[in-house]
Amino acid sequence: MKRQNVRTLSLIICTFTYLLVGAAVFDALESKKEKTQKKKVYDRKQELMNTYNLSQFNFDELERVVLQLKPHKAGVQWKFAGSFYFAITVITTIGYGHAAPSTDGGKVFCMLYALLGIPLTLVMFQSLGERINTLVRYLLHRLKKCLGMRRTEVSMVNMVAIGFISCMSTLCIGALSFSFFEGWSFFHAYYYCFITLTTIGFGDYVALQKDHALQTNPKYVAFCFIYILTGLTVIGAFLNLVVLRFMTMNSEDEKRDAEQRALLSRNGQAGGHNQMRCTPDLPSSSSAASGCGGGSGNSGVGGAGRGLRNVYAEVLHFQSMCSCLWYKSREKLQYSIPMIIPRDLSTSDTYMEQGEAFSSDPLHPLHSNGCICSMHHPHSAISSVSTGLHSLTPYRLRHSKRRSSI
Amino acid sequence: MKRQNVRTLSLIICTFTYLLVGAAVFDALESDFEMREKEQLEAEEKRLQGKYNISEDDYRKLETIIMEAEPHRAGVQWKFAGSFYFAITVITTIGYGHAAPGTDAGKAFCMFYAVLGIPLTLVMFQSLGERMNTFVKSLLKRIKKCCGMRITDVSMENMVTVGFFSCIGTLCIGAAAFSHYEDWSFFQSYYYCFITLTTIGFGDFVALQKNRALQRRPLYVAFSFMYILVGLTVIGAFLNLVVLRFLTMNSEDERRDAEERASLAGNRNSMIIHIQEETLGRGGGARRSCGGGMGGGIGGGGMGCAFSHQNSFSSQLNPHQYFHSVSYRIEEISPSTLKNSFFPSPISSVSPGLHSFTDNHRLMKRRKSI
Repeated sequence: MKRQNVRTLSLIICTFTYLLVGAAVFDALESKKEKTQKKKVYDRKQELMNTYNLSQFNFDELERVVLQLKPHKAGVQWKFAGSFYFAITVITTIGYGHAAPSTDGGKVFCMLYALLGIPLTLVMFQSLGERINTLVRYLLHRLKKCLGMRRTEVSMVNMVAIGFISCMSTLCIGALSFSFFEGWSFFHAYYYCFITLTTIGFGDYVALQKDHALQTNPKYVAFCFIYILTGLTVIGAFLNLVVLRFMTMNSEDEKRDAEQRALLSRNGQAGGHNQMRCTPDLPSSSSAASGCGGGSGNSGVGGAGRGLRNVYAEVLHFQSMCSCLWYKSREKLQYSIPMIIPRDLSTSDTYMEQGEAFSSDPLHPLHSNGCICSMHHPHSAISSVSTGLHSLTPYRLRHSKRRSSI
Repeated sequence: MKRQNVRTLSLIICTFTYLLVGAAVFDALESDFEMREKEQLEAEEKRLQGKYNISEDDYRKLETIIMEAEPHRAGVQWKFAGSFYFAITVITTIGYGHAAPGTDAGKAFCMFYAVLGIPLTLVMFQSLGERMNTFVKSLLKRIKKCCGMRITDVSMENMVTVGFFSCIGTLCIGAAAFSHYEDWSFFQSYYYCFITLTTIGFGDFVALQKNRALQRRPLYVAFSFMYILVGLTVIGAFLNLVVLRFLTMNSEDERRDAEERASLAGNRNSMIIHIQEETLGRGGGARRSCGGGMGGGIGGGGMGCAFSHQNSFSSQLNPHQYFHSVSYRIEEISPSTLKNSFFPSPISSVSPGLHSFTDNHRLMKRRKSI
């Protein structure tokens, strides 16, 4: 079965199992307390009802009023500060529910607002998170240099460790502040910060709901907003570091498969005469087409051509060795060479197009996964990182130059 | 400024503006209603207090009791069905809050559960969403072939349209179903589905909370769970199609920049080898001719200057050196750097690299033939 399908199926099974396990554990942890609490509350309710001689109907009436007054008791929820708080909970998808639009117009606007705001916020947090990761990587690199360590590269483990520690500290700082300002225990404040910054947002604990803080304590209000947004950035940076690559895995595999199929089908037809991906913008446009595909047939290449072929083979071999690089390079060379929008010249796409010229060469068989795993590298002196660049440019342009000089 | 930084700053500014605008509009839409409702309810409260002659203290107690009783009103929340529902709201980050762990152990487990569950779910939805998109793409292609259309390629617009309509369709199906089962209006149900599937999850409307549905109506419970998970997949597929590429933009730009720097650094050795292959060992000689300037043609001065400039190459070059270095760089690096910089005017902006490069090669060829 295709790799992507296996991956997707396993993930679905994992998630369902995870849900089942979670449900069982929550059941075990909470059911008992729920039962005892329910009984206690019921008993107290009965007691009060008897004291004041309330019928169930009367009690329901009271209950309705009390529940509806609940958000109002917590303060004015929809003046500017409260609305801003609400807007934050919408676009970050936290969604406490401490205040929810009552009017139909508010509900409609809320939906439209979320439609645009959520993707915007997602992209913003990932963007900022990536910038932070880059900064941290750079700082760590400098730090390593200062400390005189031998190897100054920043490894993934370093980054993950730092990311993890930042997340924990953010949660702890928040826990301390909110336990102070809201009068919660440290654990409850930590739980609040966690539920907020993971955007779950139950609403069982909500900041800025005591003592009309939204209206009377602007500094604390500002702190809360900044804390939520900064905390989400830190978490977003960690997710960007650790999780984002997995979210694009299927797409990358799919792209790779598509390109391999395209390659294979072109190998079938062309057998060396490829006009598709050549650089039409080269000065000698008429000769460019044949220039690209004509590598194998060009008598002018001679020994230098064979040397280049081997260089090409080395490029392709290198790129086939590391599939990550393969993905990257395929992805990058999406435009033909003349387009300056940054894409590496070095990458494999164009090579593979021209590589088919070599595919008939028994020394460099094109394997079904599109990689040339040739063992022959006479010109191994060329450094592997920028092999492509060398190979590409002299090859293509020499050919085109040759023609224009004729 | 680097492209990534500009992008990030603009996004931050956009988001803040968006928040401010949203706050203002919500204020305008809801404040009046809130004031009126508050007055009404407080009057009602006073009336009831008077009617039943409840003292202040007792009223506080009553309030507390009612608040505590609220989740229980909706039924048993923590038996298996309710816990499963809760687990869904945790790992999908919907988080209604209709039931929240009361025990400290429950809270602690909830946090650990979320730490592992949320990334798992994110990746799962994106994975499944991508599979769905691929499937839809192939279906659409087949349909186009069957309908005998000339162009059978599925464009991005096609996919976005199909995705958008699937989302609207999912929301409408859910709205119809929940308005029937939960006795909400269609609009309220639609609002509920929207708030759920975007994982906001206010909790003002929550399914499975009426008539002990969690315990008594297993089919409806199963439907609700399936609806939430399938709906999230459809939304996830649409996000995968439209938004995911933007999430990786900065990383890709950064990677590209790093590769350019790497090729620049790797240039030295490769350049020498390259030149030696081409110019029969004139690499050393080229170094001396650096001072030749531009008069001798781009290549001659260019090569030599490029050599000596390799080590000191930076993004702040004066035009002379830069010009030479640009021509040299273009040969070795991707055109990506060109976009970051300015070009001397004679070189056309579309393919400057190639021109300069070919010039270099012409000169290199010239050397060979000498």
